[in-house]
Amino acid sequence: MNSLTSLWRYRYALRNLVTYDLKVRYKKSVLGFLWSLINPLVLILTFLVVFKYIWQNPEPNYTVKLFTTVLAWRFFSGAVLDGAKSVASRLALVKRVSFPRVVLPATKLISNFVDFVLALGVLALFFAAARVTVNWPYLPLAVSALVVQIVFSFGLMLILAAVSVFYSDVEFVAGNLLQMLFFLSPVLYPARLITQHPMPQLFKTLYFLNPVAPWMMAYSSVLPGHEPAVLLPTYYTFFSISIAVALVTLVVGVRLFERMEPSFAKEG
Amino acid sequence: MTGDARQDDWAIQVESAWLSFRVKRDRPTTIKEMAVRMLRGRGRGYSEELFWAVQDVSFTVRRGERLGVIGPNGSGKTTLLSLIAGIYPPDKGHVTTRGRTVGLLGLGVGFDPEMTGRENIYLNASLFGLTRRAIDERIDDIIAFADIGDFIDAPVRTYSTGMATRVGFAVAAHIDADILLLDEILAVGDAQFKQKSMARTLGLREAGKTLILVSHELNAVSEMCHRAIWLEHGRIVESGPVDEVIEAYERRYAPA
Repeated sequence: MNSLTSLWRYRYALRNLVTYDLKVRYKKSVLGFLWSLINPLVLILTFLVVFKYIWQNPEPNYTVKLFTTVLAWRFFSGAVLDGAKSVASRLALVKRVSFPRVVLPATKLISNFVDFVLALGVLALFFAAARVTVNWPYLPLAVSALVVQIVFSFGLMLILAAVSVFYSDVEFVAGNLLQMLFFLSPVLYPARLITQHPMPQLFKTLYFLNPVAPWMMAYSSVLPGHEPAVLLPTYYTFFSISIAVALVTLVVGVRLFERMEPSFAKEG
Repeated sequence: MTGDARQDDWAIQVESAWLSFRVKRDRPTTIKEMAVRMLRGRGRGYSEELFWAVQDVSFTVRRGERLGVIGPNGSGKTTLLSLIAGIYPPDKGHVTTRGRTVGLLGLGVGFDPEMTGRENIYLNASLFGLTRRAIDERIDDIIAFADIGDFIDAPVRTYSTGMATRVGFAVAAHIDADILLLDEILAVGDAQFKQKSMARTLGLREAGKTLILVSHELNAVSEMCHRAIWLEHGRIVESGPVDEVIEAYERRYAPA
């Protein structure tokens, strides 16, 4: 677990890397930041057209729910995919300067987090303008879910970053699996569709074992009509399981990364 | 070999260090390839050869000493320097350094081509462990030393090799390293910069800095170093006072 303490020692290097990462992402301008929101906006509008107008989803607050969960998902998949290539794309640096390599995936986690918070700010403005009522008592649950999401993401990023130094198509494989997970999580549709579905109980259990599902339900719960415990009586069991999965993933990620770290500079 | 009787005065200690690279003849490099092999029932088996780039190398460098490393291309000079810089640990043996070690390994020192020279200086110095204040204090000196004019605020991809090397050396020379590892930096700069960097490097002696210089320019090695080691196929062929080693090396490669 040494790498986690070295993150603190190299905090200034980390800050520099994050700053440059965001500069590149936003092309050094406010307009660049707004420009970066176009992609999720187009995505959300497309989903709205398809599910709200064509498919006529009767769910109240569907628009704001989509904004919330799609942005959270974007943070997850963005961090994981950026993290996967974080070391492999910096091998030139890795071969020349000896610094704790964990700084590289950590940079991607932080820059994606900053990006998410900024997007969340825009979302909050939109909420205020649309006079969306917020279910405040569920805010602590949503924040805890975000912490779990961050822990899980970082563990996954460490695993993928290490493996992708040795196998060049990890990002591609991860991208495909993430796409599957996107549709198998209550991002586009409410969890109610699963809990009320006549499918066998086993499938439902498997569905909610996916650690992403409880986070998405937690995020939706700040919007009226989405109380997770009402939708799924065993919600807190699954939420606890997702905490355990996140912690195990982080430990495995750190261990694996530290074990493979010495040979990174020998690759490529 | 141990260069000095005073065991306590060393800055770098290399004890029978070995380092190998894997020569991947048919190791799968993608997950797809691995999956295809598994389906064909060939499992994950693949042959792998080890190439020993550094073999049983031992030496000690005293604090304040300047050591030259010479040898033909592919003899393991850069790999040895990378070992000392801590880029990778040795497979066998030990490499120990005392104090902050800064390596200038190869050209460009891993600069990000899209970032400006100034941004790269901050990033590079912070990766060497400097705090923001320490870099702020040195930035003017570093830029003045690199002496590349307005290019300092242009992306590094617009730099010539010589310019990138200037900036790289300027950072390394101002970091207050206790141990400085220089790999072929004299080969690219123009005559004036070469003079300047040699002077700067020699000036480090007063501050008690330790130096390892890898170079094909034997004159420079003889001028700047006290001792030298001659590497061949990853092994030390000869080590000792710089002029003796260079003489032996020249006898071998340029029989008069």
